[in-house]
Amino acid sequence: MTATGGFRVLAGCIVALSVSTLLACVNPGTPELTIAAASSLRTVLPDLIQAVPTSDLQVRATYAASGILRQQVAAGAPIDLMIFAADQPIDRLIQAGLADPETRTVVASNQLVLITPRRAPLITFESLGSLPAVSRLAIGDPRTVPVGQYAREALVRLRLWDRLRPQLVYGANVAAVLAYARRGEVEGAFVYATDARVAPDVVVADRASGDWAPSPLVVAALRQHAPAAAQHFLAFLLTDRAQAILRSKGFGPPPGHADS
Amino acid sequence: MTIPVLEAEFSLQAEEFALQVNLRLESGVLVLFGPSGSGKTLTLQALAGLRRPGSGHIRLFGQALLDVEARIEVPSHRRRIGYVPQHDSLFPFTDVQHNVRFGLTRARRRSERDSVPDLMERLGIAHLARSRPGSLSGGERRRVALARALAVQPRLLLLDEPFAGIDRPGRERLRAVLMEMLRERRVPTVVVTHDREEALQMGDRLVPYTRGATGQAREPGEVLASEAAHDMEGV
Amino acid sequence: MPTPDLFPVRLSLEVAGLALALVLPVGVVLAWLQAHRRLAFRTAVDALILLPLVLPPSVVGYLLVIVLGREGPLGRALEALFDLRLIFTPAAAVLAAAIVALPLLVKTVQPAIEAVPAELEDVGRTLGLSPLFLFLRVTLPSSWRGMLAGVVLAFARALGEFGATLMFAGDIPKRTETMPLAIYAAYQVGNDRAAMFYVAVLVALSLLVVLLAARLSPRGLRT
Repeated sequence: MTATGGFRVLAGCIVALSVSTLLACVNPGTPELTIAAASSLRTVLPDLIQAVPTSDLQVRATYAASGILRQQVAAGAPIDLMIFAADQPIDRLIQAGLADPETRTVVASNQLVLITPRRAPLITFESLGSLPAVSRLAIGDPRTVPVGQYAREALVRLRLWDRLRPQLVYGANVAAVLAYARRGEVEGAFVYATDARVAPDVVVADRASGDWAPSPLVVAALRQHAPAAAQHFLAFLLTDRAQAILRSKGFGPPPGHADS
Repeated sequence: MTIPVLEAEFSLQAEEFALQVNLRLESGVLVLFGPSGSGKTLTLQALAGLRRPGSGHIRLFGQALLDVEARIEVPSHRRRIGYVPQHDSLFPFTDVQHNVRFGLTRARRRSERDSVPDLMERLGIAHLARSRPGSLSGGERRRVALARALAVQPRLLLLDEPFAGIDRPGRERLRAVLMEMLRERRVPTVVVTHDREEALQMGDRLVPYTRGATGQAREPGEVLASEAAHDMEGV
Repeated sequence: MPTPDLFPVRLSLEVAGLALALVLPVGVVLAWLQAHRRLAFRTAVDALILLPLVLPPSVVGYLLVIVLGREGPLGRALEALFDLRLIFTPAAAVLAAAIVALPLLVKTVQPAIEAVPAELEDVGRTLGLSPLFLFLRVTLPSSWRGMLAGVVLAFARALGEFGATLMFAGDIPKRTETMPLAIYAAYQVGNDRAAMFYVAVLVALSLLVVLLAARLSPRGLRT
């Protein structure tokens, strides 16, 4: 290929690329509803979206640790509905005027569990104190991940937090924590009961129940002036149908709600 | 029967050609004479242990430094052969006196400490003891290199074009000093040169080189006379 | 906001220092071998040494985990034979930093060694220097600038290691959370004060390194 020929091909490619990019911008397929959901909802949200009565609802969902999501909303991400795994990030957004306090709703509850890799020795929350110093436990980064905060809460109440600190490997989100456990790099990990259900290669060794156990909540809120579709979806989450789906995935009812 | 100082017969595959060497030094100074590129430097390097011949042997005072067939090879640093390459190669990171003393081990340094200043004096570089190699002239650098090689009392001295790059008067002066010292210390020497006059002046015996092969060793006068009759292959 | 914790600064310096201590002897030997031997596999070795420099840190981290992790072949062997676990320990951070710093050292030191004129080493040998002393008394003094530049660059790289460290040493505050990890963690919580502090420290250290390395690089081959 001569220099001129090559140049022409290059110019052609650039033009084609620019045109397709422009086209993509002009016609992006605008979703009617954008949801920011905590990672722990990855297993259940798609089913919930399917089950919503309104037929042609276009939904886009983004998943991350609640702390990260809060940051993204604060930075201006166009989110209509937030469903987080803790109340603190939601409340911070409400305080910042980015979420509507009237719409704050607890939609479900969860349970903190201690999992181990499949063939590892079983341990309990209370037996964690006697783990050898070389052992490691995976925990969501308590600075940003709600399940990590709940785990810390439990360990603090059990008076094990200070002793176990050098052995706690922080994961950026629940999926990371699960991965550590599945790969067998840690002796145990703290996740939600809902995550443990679907994870292969791990075993639920102990559930957090007792006066030291935290009560993880799934809290939702809408942004200020959210579209009707968002309000509709939020209301749907409290219906029996939605709650049944949540229950089927291992979530518990919101406190005060009638058990099914 | 006296053992020759040096007896070498080997072949070495170099980049441009195959070198075939056959030479003998009974005593005194042996001159390797020939045009550039005929393999003289390579010969010195092989003798010093810096290049390895493919076959053959090198014997110094009867001791085998190299015998390829018998798998004997004395590494370069154990041969006690002094080597002054064509381009001086003084160590730039230290001064003249440390250059001269470089090869002396700590133990020998203590006992040689007496002879080194004398050596430097004789070669006319004592006043340069603390100078850096970079600040010296060509002639001065050559003298330092010579002193360095002689300081370790080598059993054999190899000089590659020792007077190249020095002006005429300097050359003659240096040659005179050098010959005197070599005679005094009785250091057998192999000198490479392509200068006829030097060959005549320095050598007791001369080995002519032509394109990778040594000829018969003779009296220098003989060779140079017959040079007029034969063609020397240039490179 | 609490005042920034100094632990990550200390940890980073320790990890980088230890990594350098590991890398220096190995790297110098490798550089020397590459410069001096006409090995048949010289190009292959060259490529292997260069690899960690070119691979994304996450690839390096991943490979470390699958080989030296608890389920990995080497990891299992180490645990079985020496009761030694590397993953999620400060030692893992040192190893990750060492692996990414090694190519930088070798690639800087090797040309410095190659630049030492062969005749200098020839003369050194005939003066009676064994290979080791030849290196110490001739090669090293002739190439010290390149060596130092290599050391300095390797240290900087070790200091800034993030991806492989995060994966192999994990994020354990006050144990394996080096400055780069601490910056990322602080950023995620919105603790900009801490993040800026560590950023400032790393920028200052890196500037120092870059200035040193620039002053040490050979300008024409003066020694």
